Amino acid sequence: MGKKRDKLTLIFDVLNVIRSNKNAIKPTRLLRYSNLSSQGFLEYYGELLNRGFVQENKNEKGRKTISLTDKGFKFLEKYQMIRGFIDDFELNGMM
Amino acid sequence: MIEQAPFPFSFPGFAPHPPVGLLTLEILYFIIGITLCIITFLKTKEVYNLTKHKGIFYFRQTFIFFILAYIMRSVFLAMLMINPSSASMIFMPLHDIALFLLIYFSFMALFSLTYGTLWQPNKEHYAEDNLLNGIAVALSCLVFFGRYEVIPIGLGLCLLVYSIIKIYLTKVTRKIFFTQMNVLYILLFIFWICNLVLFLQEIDFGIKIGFYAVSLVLFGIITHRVFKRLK
Repeated sequence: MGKKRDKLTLIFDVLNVIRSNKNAIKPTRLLRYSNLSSQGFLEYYGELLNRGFVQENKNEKGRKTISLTDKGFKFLEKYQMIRGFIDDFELNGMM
Repeated sequence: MIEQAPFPFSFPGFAPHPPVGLLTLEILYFIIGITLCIITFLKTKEVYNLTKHKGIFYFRQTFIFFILAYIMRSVFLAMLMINPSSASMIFMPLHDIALFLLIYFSFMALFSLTYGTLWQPNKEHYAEDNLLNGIAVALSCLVFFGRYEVIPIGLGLCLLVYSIIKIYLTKVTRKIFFTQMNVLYILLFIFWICNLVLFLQEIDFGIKIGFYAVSLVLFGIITHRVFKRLK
């Protein structure tokens, strides 16, 4: 059984799924690829929306898609640096 | 000769006329210390805004309290320079307020440091923030009004022992018991307590230089590591 992901890793994984799907993914696909329970996904997804990491759009067929915002891209870009900082300063215990 | 007015703590090193050497030491300590704390605080702003990580929050909060403590310390000293007799009705309340806030901010810095970096509870802990504030205010009142200067030392020892037990209990499975950062945080904690106590006491100039120098080196190491990680 794999190690439980912390919140920061979960956010990274979800944002990374969106980016690797050409920055436009349907909510159901995102739920499937993010390896989270429905309840957990809704919780994290709401937080990602509130914190401005993702935005909801409508495609040409009128279906809802999710894409990254500039802040979301910035998080992905800086993730390794942030992770390094938290690990180096032993701030892992708190999320 | 001007008679020294009663004061919450005796401060013979500064009144009635502070020696130039001591004054220079205090100014240098203030400038270098506050600069290192401000740099660390500002440098971690972006990572905190991106993550809202609680550990980073307490790490930054520690440094904002160190900054405020440095400011109060300099205000307190400046008041003594302006009015060494401490007898003026205008300056006396400012002295007292600055000293009280210096003690309070020092306690808060130490609480944030131990809580955020050494203890690290996993759950949401907004209630504890208020609790920490309440304890800091109560302890500051005891030190300030009761003149119990032994409290910072006693509290420091208690927190330190508890932190070490906590590290042992939570990280017992690791190969390395105390990491480099654990040691750095503990040393910073000890030296801040010592600085606070020494500030309130008349001590040898040489000892003071030694303690100030080690404190600045510890702050310098942390700032350097922050820069290295967040360049």
